[in-house]
Amino acid sequence: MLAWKAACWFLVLSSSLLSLQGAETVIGSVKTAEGGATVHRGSETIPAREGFHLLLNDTLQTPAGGRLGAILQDGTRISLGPNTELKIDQFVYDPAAGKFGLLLRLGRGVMAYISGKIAQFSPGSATVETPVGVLGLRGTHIAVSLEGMQ
Amino acid sequence: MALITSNKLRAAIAGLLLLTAGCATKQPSAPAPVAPVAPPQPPQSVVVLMPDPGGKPSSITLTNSAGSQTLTQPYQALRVARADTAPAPPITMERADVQRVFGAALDTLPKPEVAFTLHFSENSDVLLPESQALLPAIMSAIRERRSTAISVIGHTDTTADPQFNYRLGVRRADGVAKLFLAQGLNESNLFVESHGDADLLVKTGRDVANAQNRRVEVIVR
Repeated sequence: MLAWKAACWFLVLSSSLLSLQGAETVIGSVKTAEGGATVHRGSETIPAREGFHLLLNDTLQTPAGGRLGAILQDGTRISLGPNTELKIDQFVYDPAAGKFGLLLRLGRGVMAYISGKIAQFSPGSATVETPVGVLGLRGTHIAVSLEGMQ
Repeated sequence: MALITSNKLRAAIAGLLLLTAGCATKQPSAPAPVAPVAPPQPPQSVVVLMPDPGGKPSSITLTNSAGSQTLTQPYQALRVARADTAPAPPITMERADVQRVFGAALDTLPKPEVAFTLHFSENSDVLLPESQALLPAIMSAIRERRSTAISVIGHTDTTADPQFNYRLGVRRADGVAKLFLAQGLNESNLFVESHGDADLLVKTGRDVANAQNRRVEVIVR
């Protein structure tokens, strides 16, 4: 088994793939960015723009009047309304190895979500954490607003 | 004329109300009856289950330290004030309220990804002619979406061994990626992979030639 794994790694490392995917694995891309939406990566604050590549642990942020829409590499679609903060805490999409997982952390504001292949292949493996509780998504299309109802 | 009269009348009523209010504050011993004011409600968080785009059944469960509730029907919503207060039982939201509370986010959801499948002859990384003919449609999907995340994933059938098939999948995917590069696509927007024979479209045993499994998936996001 180990020898087989080692062989696989050798193949992965020695392959002639055009895009080598290392630590900086792209997990999604921004499709819409309006009104000063930003991406926070470590200590960096990057203005979000259409086409921008997202990485694991990125935090998406919008100010008042801002919006951001993104699609992840498994086809999951997420969007943020104004005054919103959403962190992509876990993204595991490896159909060849049968590994799946998605954890989004909504800090504040309003978001919408439409599931992709992670939830399709592994129902129950997609989760949204919020300050008021954990959302287990067997749902495919949801919207959440924190403190949005008076 | 009618408008002015009516405005005058409103001003008079407003003045009267102000006077009454003034009287009430000056006479604390005999307060005028005050309409009961609802106690300030803490803002509530709300989760709504939207209709599944494919019409499939779906659900959401909200769990916190005080309880758990599940939504199973479209437009059902849960309200919860804090992590230590139990979520209230589901209500059904009006479409107009859904739009008011969630509209900015819902309207910003991107289009779904679109996938194309290209086929190859046995043990070959040369596209079949009917698959070659799909390339313009793929290029227009990429341009229309202004996609910066295009996956090119090579697959094989189960003839030959897994290591060989992994490499064949790489050759197939690389070949397709090079066609896109020749069309002017940026290399950093192409995500090229091989799944070898680990992700069969049609499940077969080992050493089975299968035309459906000899493929490259192109996913445009």
